[in-house]
Amino acid sequence: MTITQETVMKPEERSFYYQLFCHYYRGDLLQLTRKQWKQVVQIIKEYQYTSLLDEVAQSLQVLEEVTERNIQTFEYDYNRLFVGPNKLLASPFESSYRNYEGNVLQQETLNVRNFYRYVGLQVANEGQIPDDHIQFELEFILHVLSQPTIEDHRQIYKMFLEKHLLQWGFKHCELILQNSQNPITHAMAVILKEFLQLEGGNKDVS
Amino acid sequence: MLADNVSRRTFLKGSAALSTLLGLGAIGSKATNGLVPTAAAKSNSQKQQFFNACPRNCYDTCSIVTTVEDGRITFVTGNENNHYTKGRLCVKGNTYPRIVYSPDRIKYPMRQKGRGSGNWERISWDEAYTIIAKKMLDIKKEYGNTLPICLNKYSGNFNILNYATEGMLSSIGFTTRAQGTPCDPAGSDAQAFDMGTAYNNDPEQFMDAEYIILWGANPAWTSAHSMYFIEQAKEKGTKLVVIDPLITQTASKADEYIQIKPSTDGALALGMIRYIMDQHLYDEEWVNNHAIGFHEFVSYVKKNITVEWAAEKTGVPKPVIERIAREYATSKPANIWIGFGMQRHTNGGSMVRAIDALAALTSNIGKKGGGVNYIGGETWGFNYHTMSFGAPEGTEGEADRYVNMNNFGAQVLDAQDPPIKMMWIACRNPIAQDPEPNVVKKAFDQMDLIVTADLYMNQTVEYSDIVLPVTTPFETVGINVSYWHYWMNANEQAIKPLYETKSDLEIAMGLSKKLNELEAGSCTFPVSGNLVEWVEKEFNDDIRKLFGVKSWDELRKNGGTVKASEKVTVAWEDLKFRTPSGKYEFFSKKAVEYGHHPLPVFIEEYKANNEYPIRCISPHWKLGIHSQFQHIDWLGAIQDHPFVEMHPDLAKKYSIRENDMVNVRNEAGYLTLPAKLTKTVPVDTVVMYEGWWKDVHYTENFNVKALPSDMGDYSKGQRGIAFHDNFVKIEKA
Amino acid sequence: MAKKLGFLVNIERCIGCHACEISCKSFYQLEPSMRRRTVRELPEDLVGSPVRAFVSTACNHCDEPACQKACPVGAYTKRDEDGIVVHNQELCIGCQMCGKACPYGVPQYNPVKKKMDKCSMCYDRLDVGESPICVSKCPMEAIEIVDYNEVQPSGTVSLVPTFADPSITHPTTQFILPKPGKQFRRA
Ligand code: SF4
Ligand code: SF4
Repeated sequence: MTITQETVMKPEERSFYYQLFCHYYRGDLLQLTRKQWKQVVQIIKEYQYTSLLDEVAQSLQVLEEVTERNIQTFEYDYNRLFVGPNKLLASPFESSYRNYEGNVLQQETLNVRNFYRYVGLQVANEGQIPDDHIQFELEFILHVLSQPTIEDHRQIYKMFLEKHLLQWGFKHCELILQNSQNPITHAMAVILKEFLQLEGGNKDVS
Repeated sequence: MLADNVSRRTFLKGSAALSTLLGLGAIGSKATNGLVPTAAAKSNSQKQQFFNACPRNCYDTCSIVTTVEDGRITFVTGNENNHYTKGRLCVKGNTYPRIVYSPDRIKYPMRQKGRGSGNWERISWDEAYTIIAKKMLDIKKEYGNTLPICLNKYSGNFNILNYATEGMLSSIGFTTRAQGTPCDPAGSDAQAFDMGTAYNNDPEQFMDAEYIILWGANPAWTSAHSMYFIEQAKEKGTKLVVIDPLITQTASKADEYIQIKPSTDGALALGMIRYIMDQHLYDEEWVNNHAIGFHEFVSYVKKNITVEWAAEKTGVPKPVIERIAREYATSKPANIWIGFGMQRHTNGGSMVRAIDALAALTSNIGKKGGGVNYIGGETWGFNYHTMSFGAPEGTEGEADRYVNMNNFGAQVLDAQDPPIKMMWIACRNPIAQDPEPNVVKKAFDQMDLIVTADLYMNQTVEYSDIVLPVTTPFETVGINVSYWHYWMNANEQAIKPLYETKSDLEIAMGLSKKLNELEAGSCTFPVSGNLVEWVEKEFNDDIRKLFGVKSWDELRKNGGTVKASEKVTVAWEDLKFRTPSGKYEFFSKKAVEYGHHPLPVFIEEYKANNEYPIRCISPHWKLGIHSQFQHIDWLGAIQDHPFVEMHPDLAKKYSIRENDMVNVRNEAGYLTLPAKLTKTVPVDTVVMYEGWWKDVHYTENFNVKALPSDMGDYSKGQRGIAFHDNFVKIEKA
Repeated sequence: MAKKLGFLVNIERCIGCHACEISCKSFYQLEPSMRRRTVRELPEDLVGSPVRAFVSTACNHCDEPACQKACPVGAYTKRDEDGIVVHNQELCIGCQMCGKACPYGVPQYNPVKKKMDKCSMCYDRLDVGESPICVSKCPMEAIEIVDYNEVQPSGTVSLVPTFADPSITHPTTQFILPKPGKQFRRA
């Protein structure tokens, strides 16, 4: 049986995941306590479909059971993967995956910028932070999804997803899974990967 | 329908719950630093060009033209208005787009939990300033002064505004400074004794030379733009002689290459001098009128030096010495370029004095196209406004305390009353670049706080508590000159600084602001200011006159680059030397004052012992400048690992074949790297190129001891390092 | 008469600095490992006594381009007016036949675009009177474009070590070999 995204995920659920990962990549989850992680898992579990998937269920369990030690090293691992100061182990910038040189702020970035501009948005410090940081891409989709007033908002959502996030999201998750040294970053990557999988309609988008 | 409603309720609950949990507004609201409504003004999408200046520690200090489209750099190349740069950059300069846009730049201020642990947390600039300022003020309270704060900053960025770091530290009181330079001290002292200071002819004048001797210099790798003029001169008939222990890339282009035993160059110069004296090929009028001590020098040479001795000492056959001496003495003008490598020996300074003497007695000094060219500083007369603020009122003590940059680790450990407790590192990577890095690490261990400002992760950042992200030249404003050519280059801000990077000057202002918040009056450095206003403050009447340009703004509007007046481009043209006598000093009392022989005499070279019989030379590498550039992947695609060069005959003795891993070891340490067999190095010497640190857990300095060269204290405060008097043993790993 | 443009690479001047290679790479924003021009080390006994010698090569814009013959979709054309061999990426299907056919291994596969890629002698720059990037960026001015129908520079060769036999495709590239200098080496 093929499950299509239309049948699987309610718009609300979809929006919730975008919100969750947007917060995650903004660094908002770095300060959570063990108890709060349990709460996050509770919230996630209210959405049944993703929790049906084995791998995700396992990851949720991991998150529920994180130790103090895990929480302590979470930020370090998160920075090693996405922030620095070292060579990034799982760059959060689309252009690192898609630009021929792996440079940031290249043509690919500008393509992303054009999408934002089309709906009247831009990155707050445009030109300083590459527009294709995953945080902004997620936020953009969230914005489009929540603004039915935007003309063609479903088309924009689909196009952006296909032309951008899905083009590199899997590779990004793969890199996290390869390099993660912490159960939280690992679990979040699994959940993100599965979510993108659903977003891609279970098609092999890579 | 029902399901939908359930979902909706759940969603509200879920989403709202998440927001409540995080104590944050919903994403997309104004409070976030994410996406915002588009500003009215659309970003500039037309092509723009800016002038930049390569600020690296390089002879060539290029003027750059940067193409910017949509606020991002699309191409970086040389500026054609600069006749030395000629619109062309060296290979390193061509990688600047990658240096700016590599995802691996240091982006945010960060704090490491546990030095060397790799456990970094992101902090805001305000937090960073607070931690640093509090530590500084605590130190001042505990010790009554700020001497426990030590600055180690050097040559990573020679933008004149970057002296703000020194200025900021001087603005809190007296501190400890890493003093000296690992680079040129012995040779600079030698020239200071002989002529008053080191001062070189414009390198574009290679074209005017009849005869060129490159003495231990390898411009093909370290100064490609000079190499152009040398090659052009050669093609129009100038003879090019290269004297070097290695058949370098430059030596490969010579009309005549002379392989000399390392550290015996002084003997060769003296042998040539003896011949020139015997044959009366020197300029009697010149030595009588413009020099002192010539007679003493003649008696020293006649008594102690013979051409036979020089041949024996240097390994260069007598007829060759005689012929080169004659050719050099009879070609006018004849030009000598002394490389920095040649003086990185325990007798380096005295060897430079001997070569100077050779140029002096043939009256090649003060001539266009001639000269004994080493380094110069005539164009550096800026205001250094960033260093002008002075200690706060009521500061105790009189002066900064100095530790020798060339024996940094040991001297930091030795410093007492007060000990050193905090380290600020900028424009430097001491753990990779200093000799005896393990001692440097020990010194680091003793610190309460280590702050490093840098562009990329490196060994020093790895060992720091706080790292501050800095701008590339393209993201800030500046002004640059060279220690070799005679151009001044404007550096415009071409793009916004990426991420949260700041220039050293902005960091200085930010920290001063915080210090003053915490303790009013604790830092005299301005707490704000526009970068263009800062750079304009560097101009004074001398600079305006020398370059014929009124301001930085005028410079940037008129091609971004300008050459100094002809008058200064021929060193010592007026023959008014800056020595105590005002003349060229074959006999220098100043030298005696600093514990040297008054004359340019030969000092025996440092010798190998039986246990470590092989000399190990670590010259500069063509795809990097010290520890910079080498880690950039564009260059990694050309050469991705370090290697040790050795002569096939030497390799055979140890059963080493091409690419075999070799242990190179001595008392200081060891490293293991693949062999590259080549007849371009002598049989008794191995060569490792300097500055390689990427993907290896060592640097070539692992087996370099902090052995000082003979001179440096007079002009640089400290002696240099005899990098090339390093002896090792090798074995197949 | 139509032109016959070709590179003239002066090995005597070349210092093996790789600036040609990297400036081209930077200008065309190629992947880190991709090159339209490469600089290779030559055997150190090239002129007899040991020296460090390099040669810089790109597409040789051959008179009988093997790439063109091998390409199944006609992505290659040799321009009538100047003989530049142009690869049309629009038409290219990424089959890599040309790369295999070229004795110099010039056409490279771009794994991101899934197309071949090679030097075009910057014909769009030449067409507006500018010289190719490598020519205008070599610090030693070691690379030139010569119309070999117009001039036949003396003392050039069309074969250097590591370079394939020119009789196969008749490359237009010519080289100036280094002149050996005197060397006094220690025994
Ligand atoms: S830029 Fe010029 S000198 Fe440098 S490698 Fe290329 S051809 Fe040779
Ligand atoms: S060098 Fe190769 S790619 Fe270039 S024209 Fe000749 S065969 Fe074609």
